Amino acid sequence: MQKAIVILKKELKTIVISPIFLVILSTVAFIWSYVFVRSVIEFEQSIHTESILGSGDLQTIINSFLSINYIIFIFLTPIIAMKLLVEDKNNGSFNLLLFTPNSTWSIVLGKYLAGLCAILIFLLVSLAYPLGVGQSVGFDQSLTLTAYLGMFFLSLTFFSVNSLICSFVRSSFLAIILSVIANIGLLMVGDMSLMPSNNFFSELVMQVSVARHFSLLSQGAVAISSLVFFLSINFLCIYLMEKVVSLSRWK
Amino acid sequence: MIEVQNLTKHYGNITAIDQLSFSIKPGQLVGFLGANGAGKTTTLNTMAGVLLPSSGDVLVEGKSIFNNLAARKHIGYLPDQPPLIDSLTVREYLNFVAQLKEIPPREVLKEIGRVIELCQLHEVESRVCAVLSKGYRQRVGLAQALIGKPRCLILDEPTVGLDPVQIFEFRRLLRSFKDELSIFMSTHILSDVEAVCNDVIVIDRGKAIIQSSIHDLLSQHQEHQKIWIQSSDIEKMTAYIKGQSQVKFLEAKPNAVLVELQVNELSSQAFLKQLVENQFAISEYKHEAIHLEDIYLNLR
Ligand SMILES: Nc1ncnc2c1ncn2[C@@H]1O[C@H](COP(=O)(O)OP(=O)(O)O)[C@@H](O)[C@H]1O
Ligand SMILES: [Mg+2]
Repeated sequence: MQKAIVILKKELKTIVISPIFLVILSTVAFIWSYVFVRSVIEFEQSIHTESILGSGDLQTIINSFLSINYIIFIFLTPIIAMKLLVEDKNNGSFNLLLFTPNSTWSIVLGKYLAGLCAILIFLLVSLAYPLGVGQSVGFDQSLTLTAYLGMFFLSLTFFSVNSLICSFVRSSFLAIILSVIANIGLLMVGDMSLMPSNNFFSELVMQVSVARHFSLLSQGAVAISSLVFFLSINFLCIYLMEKVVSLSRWK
Repeated sequence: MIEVQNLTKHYGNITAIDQLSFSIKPGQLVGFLGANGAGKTTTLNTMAGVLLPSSGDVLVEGKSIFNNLAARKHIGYLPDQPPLIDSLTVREYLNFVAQLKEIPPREVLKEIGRVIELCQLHEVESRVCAVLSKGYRQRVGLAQALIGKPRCLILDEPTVGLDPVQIFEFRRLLRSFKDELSIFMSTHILSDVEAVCNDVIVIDRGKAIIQSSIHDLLSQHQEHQKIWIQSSDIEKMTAYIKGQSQVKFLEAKPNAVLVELQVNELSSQAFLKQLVENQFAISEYKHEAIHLEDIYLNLR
């Protein structure tokens, strides 16, 4: 575990000082600002016309902000996973981790935790917008916070699946394409509008639907089952990643 | 002491190395020679624990490196591609490696200072790895391998891509370690082995075909001694030599001839005496040194 922390620290350092990270972070922050300024203007107009502070309206604004957010993460987590795994394998520095005395577990865990921290950085920056505005009008933040909890688990799940893909792909381009497809696929499993009529099968799919658990969380229903669901996908992916990295040494 | 026991590695149905066994004793400098694709990188990657063998074992001080992570601390490895991290400075990078190698935090600074001194990296220590020249990348790679005072250095074609001056410096650096650790160095450049090593293992299609000290190898081949003989009367001497059955005429220049002797049949002293007795005036003679290259090329 100590080794995982050593690897985590180094990865975070290289991610945070990498130009790509700064470019992406500022682009994303720009999109957030734009969306937010526009929403706030609309919100002020609605106050003037109706002269009632509709907290429902603010919630709608925040929800539309969140939906933009998760589109961003569909593309963001593949880049983080690719940086952490594929690039490292291709420039030979991954070997450094293999021939120094580290267990495969600590390597995989270190990489995973680094991705988790990178995601947290993005989420915290974007959280500043709704929190700031909500604070200024004295708005109840609990819904926003649970929505962010949902967002966190959703993007972490994206990331763990993307990392699994990146652990056996050698081409950066392919890694990103496959990961984006996987993320979109994850969201489509159990999407209500795509589902056939109620039967046993669709019930089952609903239980393992990332989209459903995410929407439950973002509507404020923090169910243990949803957390367990997201965490088990993550554990499964970490477990498989460890197997892939170990097996690649046998091959 | 490192023992490689019956090491075998298959990639699918390719057998990259086949039942390789040898040992590296303390202070030994071993050259690992082979053509491209002979299986050198595979052997070295397996000895360093990057790859796991299909069968066989690698023991360091009697402990297998595959189920004993701590045994790997005795091995310093420089892969064919130096495993640098481009976005870190040399110092940050070495610090990271020291942590990976579990150097106690209090000793990390001292250890980094030691390898920076050894590999003469003062000039570049605060530059990011991405901007280093090929020669410096190789030296940072070597510094990384030296962290933690390993007993054995494993180097994969360390001089490839360096210019002649860098090669000279790199070899001198390696020779300067010879009292502290053993070196196992793969290469397809024979002069690397001759300059640095005292033992040689030749590998061909995954099998070790020669394991010997360089001295023994050369003296085994010493029986075909080549001598340059300088004289004022080359034509007559050439004619005389061609008439001798024990001597093979090879080449003539305006003032010298090159001959080859079977030393066990006729020693060079006896041959020269014979020439003098036959009234030939010899102004100079010189043994032509045998190089590993001649032996290596004769193998194929
Ligand atoms: N990852 C791999 N997958 C399949 N075959 C490989 C792999 N790496 C090396 N080989 C094969 O194994 C043999 C030995 O390769 P290598 O150890 O790289 O040789 P060398 O370092 O002596 O040039 C070659 O025939 C090569 O094609
Ligand atoms: Mg090689």
